[in-house]
Amino acid sequence: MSAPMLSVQQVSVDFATEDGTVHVLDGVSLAVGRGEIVGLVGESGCGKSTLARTILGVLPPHISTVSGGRVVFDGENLLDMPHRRLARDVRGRRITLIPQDPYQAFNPLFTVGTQIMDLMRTKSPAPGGLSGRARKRFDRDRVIQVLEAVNIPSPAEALKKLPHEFSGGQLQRLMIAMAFLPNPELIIADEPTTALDVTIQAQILRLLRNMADREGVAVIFTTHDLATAYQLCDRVVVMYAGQEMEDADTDSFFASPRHPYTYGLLGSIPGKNAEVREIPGEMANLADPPSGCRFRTRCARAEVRCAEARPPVTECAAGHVVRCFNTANEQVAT
Amino acid sequence: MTDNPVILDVAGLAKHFTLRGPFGRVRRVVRAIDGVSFQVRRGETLGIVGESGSGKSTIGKCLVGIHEPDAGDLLFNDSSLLGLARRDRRRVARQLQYVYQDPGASLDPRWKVGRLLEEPLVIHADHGAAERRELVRAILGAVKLPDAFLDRYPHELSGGQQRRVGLARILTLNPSLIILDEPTSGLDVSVQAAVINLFKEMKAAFDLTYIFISHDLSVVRILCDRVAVMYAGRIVEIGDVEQVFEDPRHPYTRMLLNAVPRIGRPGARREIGGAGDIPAGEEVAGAGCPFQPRCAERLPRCAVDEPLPENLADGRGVACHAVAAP
Ligand SMILES: Nc1ncnc2c1ncn2[C@@H]1O[C@H](COP(=O)(O)OP(=O)(O)O)[C@@H](O)[C@H]1O
Ligand SMILES: Nc1ncnc2c1ncn2[C@@H]1O[C@H](COP(=O)(O)OP(=O)(O)O)[C@@H](O)[C@H]1O
Ligand SMILES: [Mg+2]
Ligand SMILES: [Mg+2]
Repeated sequence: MSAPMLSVQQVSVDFATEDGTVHVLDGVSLAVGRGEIVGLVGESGCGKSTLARTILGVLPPHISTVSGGRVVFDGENLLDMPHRRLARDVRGRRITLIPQDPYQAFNPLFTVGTQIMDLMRTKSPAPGGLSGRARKRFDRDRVIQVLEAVNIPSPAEALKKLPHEFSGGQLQRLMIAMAFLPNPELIIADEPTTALDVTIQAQILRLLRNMADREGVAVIFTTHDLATAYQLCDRVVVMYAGQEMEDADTDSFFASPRHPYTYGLLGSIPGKNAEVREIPGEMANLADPPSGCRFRTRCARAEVRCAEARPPVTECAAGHVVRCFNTANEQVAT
Repeated sequence: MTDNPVILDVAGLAKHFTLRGPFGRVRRVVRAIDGVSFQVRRGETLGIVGESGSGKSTIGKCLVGIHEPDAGDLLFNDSSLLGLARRDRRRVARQLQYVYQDPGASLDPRWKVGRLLEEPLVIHADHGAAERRELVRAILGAVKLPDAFLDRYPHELSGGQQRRVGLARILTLNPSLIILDEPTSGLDVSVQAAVINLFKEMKAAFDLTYIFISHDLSVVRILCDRVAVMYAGRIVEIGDVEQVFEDPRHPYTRMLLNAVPRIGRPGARREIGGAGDIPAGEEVAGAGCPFQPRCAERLPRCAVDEPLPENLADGRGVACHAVAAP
């Protein structure tokens, strides 16, 4: 891969809470190449949304601090970029978001058309010299074309409707359309299919894949479901307690997973006849994380050194990294 | 299992909701379930699957009397649950428990676990105080929580532990049939695995029968003996889990199973399965098969003539003209 389009380097984020400082992200790194779909996989509370917010520069003010690292996008560190420039040039324009809950993303009082055309006016680059009516017509054509691409029936009619007149699946497709409309380079999809039925989920995944391929857009897709990442993504990054534990291209990841937490996740997926195995214990307390490896309190293979030092992030095969002392780990037969 | 007695017999169950507009005008009648028939044998786990809105919860709520059905009958241990006097219904209802999603979410925060577990027993008043405490301890052990938890408040427990207490509370009523409605939805896989194993253990320990409502087909597969697939308020296929999952016959069952993301063998071609570009479940009205607008195998008669469930040679039931036709 040439230089990645986005690289998150050793990013740490703290939240100030009643229970003290919570280290929500702890030196997390990942990279996204042009047109690549990266799956960010982890259980709830592991920091997926926080990482998405860090990249977009929308962490909750006052309580959050980025205590280290860089987010390099097209050669620039977004964490240093002045807020106004980030808001004007990057967020919603070059990097867009598909949120989990489409009902929250739309204003219930305005038609979908009003909201989408507004977005086009403020966020989408118009071809040189277009203004006034010509600009409006151009925007409208692009909107109709993209709504058709995401299978919204009769797009011109759909634009006149209010958000609540759509089903959940249709609203999710509208959200996808809106994320693609400004011609972004990167889309962050934060668990966009978690609440949907499998049939609709399959449609949304296919749509996302086709649109990303068609428009050459990279996607960070967060999910707690490894099987979804398997189907959709080019790369998989498994996250636990604010750190990436394993990162590999999808084929290598599933052919030879290395991290004990990854085995735990794989073993707890209901399969054909297999018994499901629980991961013992509970998610690490981020206000007071275990010394050394954050996963060690739940790890069947923890050794003394796992408590004494932080395991290094090691490349165990080309492009396959794992945060564990024992990089020679083989999965226990399943 | 197939020799066990039928404890629940549901015949032609229907429930319609009337949505009213301003001034009480009828805007629309939702046929939430229609002509639903199935049987459950003692000790069995019957799964009910289908997309949201297909009528799964409505079945569960009719069984426990939250909804009064518009048609059909419900036989529990050979006697009808419908038309019972309130008091009799309550007595029977105790053996038939409905658990909606997270049973830990509704625990009274002011009560300690010990009192929470004892309270249902006090209400029904058929144990002495010492006996009650003994029972509570045994049940707490069964859901794998130590005695020390009796003195804790719900907020001192993790989400998973609260869920266990919620289940323990239902078990104190000594039910014979538990209807679990989406009990794993919203859980992470590692927690879900623990909950699945807990259900299995409880079933063996307390001699339970389950109706397991879920939209997660993978969970149904490993937990259930039989499965009913619902579409638009009807059962479109019902049979042994292995039969239905290995060789689905109804086009809708096939579409649903195809859409479940699965991790393939190394080297396999990765692709997104599922529903093609068939429109998602839009409201359908009128005669004919409710699935017909999305169906790739529809025949001319599907538009005019609703297929009824028919038993195939292998014992399963399927409601589809294309399958029944020779
Ligand atoms: N606004 C906030 N204030 C305090 N803690 C927060 C806030 N947002 C998230 N957290 C904490 O950060 C951790 C990661 O949360 P999140 O990024 O939402 O995880 P995920 O998206 O993977 O479920 C959790 O422990 C959560 O409790
Ligand atoms: N109390 C109610 N009033 C009106 N409509 C209802 C009510 N309960 C359920 N419905 C409708 O009945 C249908 C079946 O709902 P439900 O049984 O909850 O489905 P599921 O549990 O499969 O998601 C849906 O169309 C739903 O909107
Ligand atoms: Mg999140
Ligand atoms: Mg329901």
